[in-house]
Parts: sequence; C-alpha cells; structure tokens
Amino acid sequence: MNILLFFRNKLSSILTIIVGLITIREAIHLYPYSFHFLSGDHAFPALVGTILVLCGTILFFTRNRHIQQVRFPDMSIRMKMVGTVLLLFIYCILMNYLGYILCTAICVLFLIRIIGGFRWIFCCFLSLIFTATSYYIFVVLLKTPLPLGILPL
Amino acid sequence: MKKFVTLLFTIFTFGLLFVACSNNQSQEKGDEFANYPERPIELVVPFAAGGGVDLAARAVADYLSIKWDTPVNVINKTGGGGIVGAQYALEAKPDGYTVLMNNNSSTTMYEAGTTNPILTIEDHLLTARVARSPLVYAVAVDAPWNDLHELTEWVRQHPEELTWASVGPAGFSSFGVAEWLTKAGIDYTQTTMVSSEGASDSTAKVAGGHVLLAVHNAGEVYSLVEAGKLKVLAVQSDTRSPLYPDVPTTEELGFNDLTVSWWTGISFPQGTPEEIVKKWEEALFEMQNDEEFQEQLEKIFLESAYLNSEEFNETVKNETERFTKLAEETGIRK
Amino acid sequence: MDSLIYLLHGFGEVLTPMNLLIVVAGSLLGTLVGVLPGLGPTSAIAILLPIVAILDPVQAIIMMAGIYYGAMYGGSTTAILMNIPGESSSVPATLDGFPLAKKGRGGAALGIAAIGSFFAGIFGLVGLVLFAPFLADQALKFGPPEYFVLLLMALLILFNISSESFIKSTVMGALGFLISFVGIGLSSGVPRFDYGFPILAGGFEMISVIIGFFAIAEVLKGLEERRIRIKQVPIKRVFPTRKDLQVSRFPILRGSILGFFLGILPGFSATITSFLSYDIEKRFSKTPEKFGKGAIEGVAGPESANNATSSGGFIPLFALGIPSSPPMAVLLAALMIYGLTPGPVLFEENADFVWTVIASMFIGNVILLILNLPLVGLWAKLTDVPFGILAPIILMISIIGAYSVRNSLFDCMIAVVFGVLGYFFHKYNWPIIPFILCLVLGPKMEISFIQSLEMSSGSLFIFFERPLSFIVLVIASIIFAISSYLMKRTKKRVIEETGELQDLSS
Repeated sequence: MNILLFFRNKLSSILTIIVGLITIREAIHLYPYSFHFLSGDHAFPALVGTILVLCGTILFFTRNRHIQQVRFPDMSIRMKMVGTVLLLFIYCILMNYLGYILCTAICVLFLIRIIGGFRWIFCCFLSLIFTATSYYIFVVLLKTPLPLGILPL
Repeated sequence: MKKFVTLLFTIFTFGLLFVACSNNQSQEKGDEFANYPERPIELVVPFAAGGGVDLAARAVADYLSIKWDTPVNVINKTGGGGIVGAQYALEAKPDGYTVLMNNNSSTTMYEAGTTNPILTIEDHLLTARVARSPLVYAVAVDAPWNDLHELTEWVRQHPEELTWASVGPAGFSSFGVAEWLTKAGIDYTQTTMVSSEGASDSTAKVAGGHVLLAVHNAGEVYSLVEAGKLKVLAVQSDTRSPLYPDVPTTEELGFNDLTVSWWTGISFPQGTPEEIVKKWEEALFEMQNDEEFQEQLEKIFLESAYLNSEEFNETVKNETERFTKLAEETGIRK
Repeated sequence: MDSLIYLLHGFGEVLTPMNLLIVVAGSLLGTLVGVLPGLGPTSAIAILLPIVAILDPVQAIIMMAGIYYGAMYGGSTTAILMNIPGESSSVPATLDGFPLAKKGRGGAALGIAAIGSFFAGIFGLVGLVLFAPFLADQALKFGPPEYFVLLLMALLILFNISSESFIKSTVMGALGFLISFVGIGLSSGVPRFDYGFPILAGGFEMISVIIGFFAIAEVLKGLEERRIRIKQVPIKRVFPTRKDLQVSRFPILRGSILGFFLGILPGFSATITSFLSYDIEKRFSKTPEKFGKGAIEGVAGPESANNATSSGGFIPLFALGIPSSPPMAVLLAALMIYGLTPGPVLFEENADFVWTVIASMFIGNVILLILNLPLVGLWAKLTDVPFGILAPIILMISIIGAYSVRNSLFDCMIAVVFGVLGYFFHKYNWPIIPFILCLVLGPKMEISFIQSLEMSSGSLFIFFERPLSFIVLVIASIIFAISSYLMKRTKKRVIEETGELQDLSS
C-alpha cells in the first residue's frame, strides 16, 4: 500500500522523465539532418527533453509538503462526464459517414439528455432547432465545408 | 417452336436492354459533364490564407463562381510546406469537385530537393498555369551594392560572408541562389543559409540588417521596398517588372540562363474525367481576358500567365529536371 | 503623424455598414459568452473562433477584438451583480460592486465600470497609436538573437506568475513546446515526431488545442460544479449619478495610467494591476472605511486598470508578436491562421490591417458603452439559461470551430483529447497557461534560436555579445524581480479576499 501511494505521488515526475527521454531520442534521430551541433531541428527538442528530464528528477526528489487530495466528483456526475466525452469522440468519427446534419442531430439530442436531463421530447425539440440553426449559420452562411454525408441538401 | 420463340424473345429483350443501357449510359455521361458543376467545388490551397497562392486562388474562385453560377470555395489546408494540402486534394475522389492550386515550392522544388518525395509531378493532372511572378534579388536599402554585378563580385571575394534567407534548404530562395551562384562560378555551399518562416520573415530580417540577401518573388518584397527599407538589385526575367520599372533585368545585366521564377497553377487528381479538365482549361483561358480578374491580380502583384495543360506539363517537367540536376550538383538534396 | 492618417483611413474602413455590423456582432457575442459564469475572454475567443475563422482576415480580427472587449465587459457584469468573477482580474470589482448591487445600486456600479473601461480602453488605444509605430520601427533592429532572448525572458516571467511552482510551470511549458515540434521541421523540412503517421506530419493545430483547453475542459469543469441559482438583485437605475462620476474621475484616470504602462510589459497581468489599483484607491480615498461596503471608486479604479492592461497588451502583441497574457496568446494564434504573424513587418506590410483593427477597437468601445448600459438587464437574465442547454451548444460549436481551421476531423479529435487533458491538468493543479504560451510561441522561438546560431555559425555567445540582446536581458531581469514581488503581494491579497488561490495569470 505504501509503495503504491508512493508511486502514485511520484507518477507525474516519472511520466515527465519518460516524455523527456522520448523527446531526446527523437532529437538524436534528427541530428543527421542538421548543419551544426547546436542549430537545426534537433537542437530545441534536445533542449526541451533535457529540461523535462531535469524537472522530472527535481520533482521526484522534492517532498510534497502539502499533498492535496484530488477529489473527483461522485459516480453520477462522473458517468455524465465520461458519456459526454465519449459522445464527442463518436461525433467526430461518425461525421465522416453520416454527414453533419444527421450526426449533429443525434449527438446533440444525447448530449442534452445526458447533461441537462430534460425530457426526451424537449431534447428532440432542442436538438432539431440547434441542428437547423447551426446548419444555416455554418454551412449556408459561412460556407464551412463540413462533410454532408448521406444527407446532401 | 415454342422454345424458339422464347429464345428469340429473350434475345430481343436482352438486345433491347443492352441498347437501352448503353444508350442510357452515354447519354448520362454526356449529361453529367454538360451540367458540371452541379454542386460546390473545393479549391484547395495548401498554404496559409493571405499568401500569393491563396490570393490568386480567391481571384480564380471569384471568377468561376460567377461564370458557373456555383460556389467555388477556397479551402486552406496548411502544413508540411504545402504537402499536406496537396496530398489531401490529389487523393480525393477524382470527380472534378476537388481541385488543387499549387506553386513550385510544393511541386517541382519539393520533388527536386527531397530524397523520397511523398508526392511527385506524376500525381498531378496539371490543368493550367494561372499566374507567375519573377524572382528578385533584394538587399537592405543601405547596403553597399547597387546592382547584381557588384553583389556577385563581392560574393566572389567573400563567399563565406554571404547570408541569405530561405524557407528550408530546398525552398524557393535556395534554388534561386544556387542557380545564380553556380552560373557565376561561385561555390554555393560556402555561403550561409538562414532559415526563415516565409517571405515576410526573410524580408524583415534583411531590412533589419540581420541577413544580407532575400530572394523572393517580386510581389513579396514590394511593400518593404515601398516603405524604403529594401532595394531590389535585379529582376530575373526577360522583361522589366511593372512593379520596379527602374530595376534592370538579369538579362540586361548579362546574367544569362537564370530560370527560377515563381508560378501558381491548377491541378486535378489523376483519373479526373477529361471533359472536366477541358472545361477548366477553357474557363481559365477565358479568365485571362477578364478585366476584373486582371485587376485582382495586379492588386496582389502577380502577372497573369496562362498556359494550357500541355504547355504547362511541358514546362513543369523541364523545371523538375533542371531543378533536380541543380539540387544534386549543389547538394540541396541530401 | 503618419499614424494619424493611417488611423483615419482605418476609421473609414470600419465605418462601412458591413464592418460596423461585425463590430457590433463581435461585441455582443463577446459579452454573451463573457456573462456566462466561469467563461472569460480567453474561452470566449476560443469558442467563438469558428464563427470568426470563416470571415475575411480584417473582418475576423475586428470581430475578435470586439469579442475580447465584450467578454471583458461581460465578466464585470457577473462579478458585480452576482459576486461571480469570471476571471481573477474581476475579483476587485466584486469587493465593492456586489455590496453596491445589494444596495440596489448595481446599475450605477455597472455604469461606472463601463465608463471606466471605456476611458481606459480609449486611453490604451491612444497609447497604442503613439507607441506602436515607434516600437515597430525599432523592432526591425531586433534580430533573431534579440527575439530569442526576449521571448525566453517573457516566458520565464510568465511562468513565474502562473503557478505556485516554477518547476511545474516549466514542465507544462516544455510539454507545450513538445506539441509545437510535431510536424515538419522548421529548418530541414524533414518530418519529426510523426512516428510514421502522415497525419502527424501536418502537425497539431494550436487552435484545436486551445479550444480543447479553454472550451471543452471548461464545460467538463462546469459539469461537476453544482450550480446554485443566485438570486439576483433587481437593477433599478443604470446610469450613475453626477456625484458618482465626480468621485470616480481620478480613480479612472489613475487606474488607466497604471494599467496601461504595466500592461505593455509581460509579467503584469490584469489581476496584478486591478488589485494594485484597488489598494491605491483605498489609500488615496478620504473615506477608506467605505471600501468593501460599496464605494463606487473601488469599482471604477480596478475596472479601468483591468481594461487598460488589456489595451496595453496589444502593443507588444502587434509590434513584437509577444502576447503578455493568455487571451493575447489566443489572439496571436488566431492571427496566425490568417498568415498574419504579428511583428514589425505587420506594420509595414499590412499597415491598413493594423490600423483598421485599432480603429475598430475605438468603435467597439463606443458601441459597448452604448449597447451595454441599456442591455444590462438582458445580460443579467442570460445567466439564468440552464447549463444543460448551454453546455451542448458550447461543445458543438467548439467542435465545428476545431474543424473549420483546417477542415479536418482529426483536429476535432485533438480538441476533445486536449479537453480531457485540460480537465485533469486542472484537477491535479498543473497550470495550462505556460503550455498554451509555449505552444503558440514555440515555432517563433525555435526559428529564432536556429536563425541566431546560423548567423553566428554555431556560437552561443551571440545572445550576450550583441548590445541590444544584452540590454533586453538586463531589463527583463529587473522586470522579473518586480513582477515576482508584485505577484507575491497579489497572491496574498487574493487569498485574503476570496479565501482560495486562483489562477492569477489572466
């Protein structure tokens, strides 16, 4: 348990060091393309990688005087957040296949339902209004080339 | 007997169907391209908004939108020195609704300067060249040289002191400088390239005295010349540029065979129907005589320079060969 | 006096019906987002970017400036009427504003805040007109080494004020740099950090990251906060009395001067200047005992300082391309979408553009004053819109915004990913401001570094040998010391007033 707690507290510093090392590795790969030792595409990554490793090491050895407990929200809100994020990902993926209109209508419907918890009928109503307005503003007025998919109007 | 009739009937039906089908198909095909464009066209610009290619593309889009009564939308897909956007456009469905507007830095120069290019000229269905702009040699206004001869002589004496700005070792400026110095018999590799983020960055560095020479297209240095911070030593062209009527051309100064110049043109993905390409070619040809378009080009300091598909292909192929040779000789390609 | 002619020309540009409409729309939209609790100018610009990104460059920036000012103003509205400061720089406005509102004089407080903001904005703009061309002229002399030193010092100063731990800020800054590295290498043209994925060779779009951090993460944070409906105090009179104006005259002037001059330098955020102004007014006042119980001067001074700081921030942004605060960093990123990299050349090459924007700010300020006083009631109502409706709208617009920059769905994914990351960074108390600043400034800083060493053939001494870069180093060190001192002081004050430590960099 103690080791676990120790590890959790030091996780950020360990991650920092790892990211730093990956950066330095990429810098070494880039070195052959450069003109001088200090100037070229590798120099800054090498510098940043070194800083990361250094900072990570310092963080690892500094004692946290006041370990703040990070409190996460309770289960229902957590589900809400996970649901929201998942929906957004699905939205980004589905947009290519379903097109903007259909995809937005569906995703906004569920988003409003998840976040707001209104009645389904109200959610449907809002999602239709949002989809129509946003379609008008972004596609018709502002000519954003959003994928229109299977509903090309 | 009954069988025979059935057979006949079947053959007849199939024949009819076949004729109808082929008829239908050919008719549909004809219709399809006669009505092109039926929906908005994406004109992809692989560079940031506000640059030379972007402004030219907007002028083209304005003209075609009115002519065809269909929106032609300019879309900037930036990144990777123009390769990201070009790749997007050239890998799109070849249905004539995704078009690319390109320039030499992401085509001929990219191919010549890169060992394993992701895109080559073969991937472009070059349709027409739209505009061009000559290359100019610009230095700070208080620099000691008054024409390109003096600069060339100075570089001959002190090649290691010359610094010039370029977007990457295989950029437009690199090819310009490499060609000029090689033709003058000076070792290009002894001079120093200073990396730059783009024309406005390079010109600012030259105006501030941090870099000695900027080699860009005529329009890109114009504003700082106007502001009295830069002077142009020579224009690389056979005729004088209307932007700098007092500046001699390289030909006048006796530098022959300097060929690097900036252009922008339209390409389609390979496999795009010939009718559509023809349609664009014709439209772009007519565009050259449009007064509004000319005015627009003048505003963005470009010269209209239409070439049809065949001529354009020819020029680009030649350019690629020349640049590849140059890149190999001078070590631009690593 | 060239700049005056340019400015007049700029006014001519802005006063066309279309551009005027854009200024109005920008100011209104900005106020709209600014009034929403928890959303400040940075988020406002990030969220509204999609609407802006499709306009012409000039119109887009005009709108953005309007949004920025509008959001600042909207922030004061919630601070005064509901005691909810959108950002820490509005905290001083709550100290006397909310007591005034409880007395039924919320309208007068808002009015004074608007008038103070207006004068500060105008004052800042006059300074911008006078200073910026001078600075831009000098800025050509700034070569790559000077830029590098300047950016490095500015970043160090900003790191210092954006978190309680310098190391944590540095780590976040380094991560920001890391994200900016992905894509085509600046000097060699070779893809790096792409690990073989072509989509990574195109790099991360910084606007997606900003939208993720400031819009999506903000909504996620909002999800977990239980929103209590705050009973609003009815607004009676909007216009301040003659006596209010008389009392506020000097606080407004002092706040404007203080805010403007400190705003030019990096490391003095609006939070620092508004607290400083509040304390100065308390000291100058003949009735210091009234402070905290509803003294109108306590609203006038800090609000003016707050706004003047932001106006002052436009000078280093336009002339040098250095953002002095997070909203400026977002503006910088937005300018870059249009290929308009702020810096000395912007004044030479796009003089029309710069002056049109400056003129639009004048007009934006006037419009805010005219529109907002009568609309105060409406804005106050807007805070009643349920989060369940607002959040999905903000999320969807954010996604479209991330899409519209490069027309790529990959960028939308990136926005969502960084939204989640932003939430966790917030939870574990890792500051995101250094991340954003380094992400935006990364390419500029790296190319300056490379250019410097190309100029010196690989010698690092170029950063100290040149007189200008040496002067920059010395001045920056002095600013670093002063800003650290003021920061400590402000931190103490914020804890005194709100009982908790807040993000002070804005």
